[in-house]
Amino acid sequence: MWNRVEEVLGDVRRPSRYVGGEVNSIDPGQVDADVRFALAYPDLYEVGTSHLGLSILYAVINAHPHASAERVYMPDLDMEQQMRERALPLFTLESRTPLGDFDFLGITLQYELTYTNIINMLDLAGIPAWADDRGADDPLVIGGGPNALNVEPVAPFFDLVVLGDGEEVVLELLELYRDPRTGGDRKTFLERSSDIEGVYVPSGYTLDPEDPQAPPRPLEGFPERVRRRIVPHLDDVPVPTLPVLPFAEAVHDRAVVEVFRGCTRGCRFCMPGMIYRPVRERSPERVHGCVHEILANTGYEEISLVSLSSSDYSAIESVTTALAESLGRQHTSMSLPSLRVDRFSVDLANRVRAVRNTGITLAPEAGTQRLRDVINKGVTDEDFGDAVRAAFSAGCDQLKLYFMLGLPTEREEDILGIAEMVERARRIYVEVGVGRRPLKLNLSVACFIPKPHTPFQWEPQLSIEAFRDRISTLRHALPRRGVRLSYHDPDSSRLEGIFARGDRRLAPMIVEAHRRGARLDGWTEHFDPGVWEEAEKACSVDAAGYLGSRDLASPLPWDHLDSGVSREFLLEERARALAEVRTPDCRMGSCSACGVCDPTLGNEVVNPDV
Amino acid sequence: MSEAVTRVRCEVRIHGRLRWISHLEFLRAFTRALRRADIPVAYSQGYNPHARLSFATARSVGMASDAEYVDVFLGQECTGSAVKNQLNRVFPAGIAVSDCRRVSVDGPALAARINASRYHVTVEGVARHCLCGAVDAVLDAPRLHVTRHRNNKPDRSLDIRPGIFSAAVIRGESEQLAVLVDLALGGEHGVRVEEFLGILRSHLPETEAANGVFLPRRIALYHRGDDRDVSPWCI
Repeated sequence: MWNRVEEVLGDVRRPSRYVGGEVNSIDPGQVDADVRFALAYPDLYEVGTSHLGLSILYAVINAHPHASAERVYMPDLDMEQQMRERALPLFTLESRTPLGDFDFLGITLQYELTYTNIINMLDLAGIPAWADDRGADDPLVIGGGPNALNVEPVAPFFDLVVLGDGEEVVLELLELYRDPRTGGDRKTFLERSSDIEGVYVPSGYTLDPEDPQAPPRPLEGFPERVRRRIVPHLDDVPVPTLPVLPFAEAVHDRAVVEVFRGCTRGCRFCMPGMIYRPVRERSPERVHGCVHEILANTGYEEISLVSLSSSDYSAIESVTTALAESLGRQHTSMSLPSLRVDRFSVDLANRVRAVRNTGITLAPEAGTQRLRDVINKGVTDEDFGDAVRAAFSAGCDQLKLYFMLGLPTEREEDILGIAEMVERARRIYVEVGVGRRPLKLNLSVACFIPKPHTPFQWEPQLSIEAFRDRISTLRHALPRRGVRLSYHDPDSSRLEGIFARGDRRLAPMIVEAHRRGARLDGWTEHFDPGVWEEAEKACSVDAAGYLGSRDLASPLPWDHLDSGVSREFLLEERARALAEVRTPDCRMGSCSACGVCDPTLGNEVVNPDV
Repeated sequence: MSEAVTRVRCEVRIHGRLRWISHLEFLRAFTRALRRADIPVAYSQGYNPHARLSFATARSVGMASDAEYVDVFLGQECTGSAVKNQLNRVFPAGIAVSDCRRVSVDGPALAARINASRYHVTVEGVARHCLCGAVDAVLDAPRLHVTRHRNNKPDRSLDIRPGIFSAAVIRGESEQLAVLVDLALGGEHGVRVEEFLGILRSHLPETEAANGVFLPRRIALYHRGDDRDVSPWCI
């Protein structure tokens, strides 16, 4: 196998992506496993190696005495061509074993525009795309990750899907598989695995042809609804302190430690903010220890304390202060992604030198207070002014702002409000940054995509034309110079929107688009809307139906996938949004009754002082 | 740990599957290995301090090498063998320091002095007499033109004959046929080993040219002087 791989490496770009052998990757010669996992990220190596979730599972599985996990990524187009010409099956990096030889193939579902890559990877491995077509010799294909909560458009490609936290489920599946009473037969294994909390077996559910928009109905023996798995205490699960160190430069070329999981800020457009509740913080002692361990094991020059909103971590001040001191001596920097838009967060970032004084990124998301109240983004005009002032005072001369267009109830004044916020930032810069070089301001605008399991799951998505109109309104309101406006490609947002609230009837379209050449759709240079248009036509897909508003009284295609957050809460939040009423964070205010917590599970926050 | 008090020169081997990593990737891997090994590297002054290293030359992707040289400036005294041992404990299989010695902290940079490189090219699928004939023909040619593609500039034709210092057919271990070749590195006459091999191939009979497999490995870098050659250890 390896000789055949080496023959093509001289003809492909960045061959290091296909050779493995990285620091901290497992040595397959040393492993004697009865159960073998291949973990796949359905995108290029540079993207996939940066993903924390698979890195956690790699550590969890490889720590098991009888199991091993290896990695595989989507090959780039030039490599794919070589592999097809020479009939080289897709293989894992560690032992160069074709994917078909594994017991399990785990594929992460991070982003809708990677769905054709999943088909492509299965195809390159010679594994049937449709779970129904697989036999005893094929691996069990498992899905997981945020989009598992609406896996329906790709559900027929998976034997089973894990909803929620995977650390414990993966070990339970492994034991079930090793048990000769359940592991021997594919059908028995799948039936029994649906008893594990968090496991969804798509073949145990069928779509009602009379009512295709309703969730698929369970066959006998399968639960009505599948509940998301939640790890109650983050300190109970392993931290990957021996992460694989990629050779090719990864998109996030740094060490990461997850400081907490879940977020209860309650932004009404945000799917992760709904489907990862409750907040579970890692203890500061653990965070501190893991940071030093990872740095010693990798040699990274930067450590990132990650979460959905890192300045919300209760012990953020004490942890960063303690770390800044020791890291400075080691020439290591610290970064805090997803900064809240307020003075506290910006000051914090400056203090730990998390911003390399050059630039800062803030995401107010909407241009007026009214619309920010609608989406429950708790940022006031004052917060915004204070945040940019703090950044500029600290020497920052580049500002990147993220906004969305097409949010529910958006009016022209909200679009113009974005331009006013830009103006305001520029005025503050002039006040603070006298005599400095001009401010570099990048404005990045995305099209709002209604996501399942959020209060906005019933709302319509803007058409491409309407999005273009609003972009044009914004562009005319912006100053002619000094602001760089960039926006997401509306064609790819449209496709993402179709899949986000899609159902099982979309699966044939994905196969069809792949057959017509679609892959790496998340990359602007590869995305071809024409191919998708043809596939839509060929499969008679009603795109407008998926993008339009949904009836509040009707069931939704993902209703059987239970995030823990109740429908009543989402409806209530939707009503409050339309009434422009904010809902406070339940960590600070009172419980908002989202339905996730129970007597054994709740927000777990640590003492702010170490 | 910022002011450099000493400098060590590492001779590094890159082989096996790791020959497929690029020069830039090797540079990053080396920097991070120094950090994992806790070597007291000196850092540059200034706003964005970086580890003070210097590499003799770049290596093309896919080529194995016994002779990559990296100079590391240290903020504390440290022996060459200590650096070698510490690094070899943290390198992945396929990268190893074969020798490491202290050199003068303010001596010249290797990159400025190294101007020649020696390659050992194993050859398969070519008969010995054909290979010898091709090598002789290459050495006898007064001029050897190759075309170089350049980014955003027109192609350029270049005579590489002056950059071919010597070439000879040898029989290596297990009767493996090989070519030993010395080429100019960098500067006006610098020749890439792939260019030399392309020319060599064009001097082979058609079938042998099509079937021949050439696998180059860099085995030495040195300074080629007017009267004598100088190894990296003496620069």
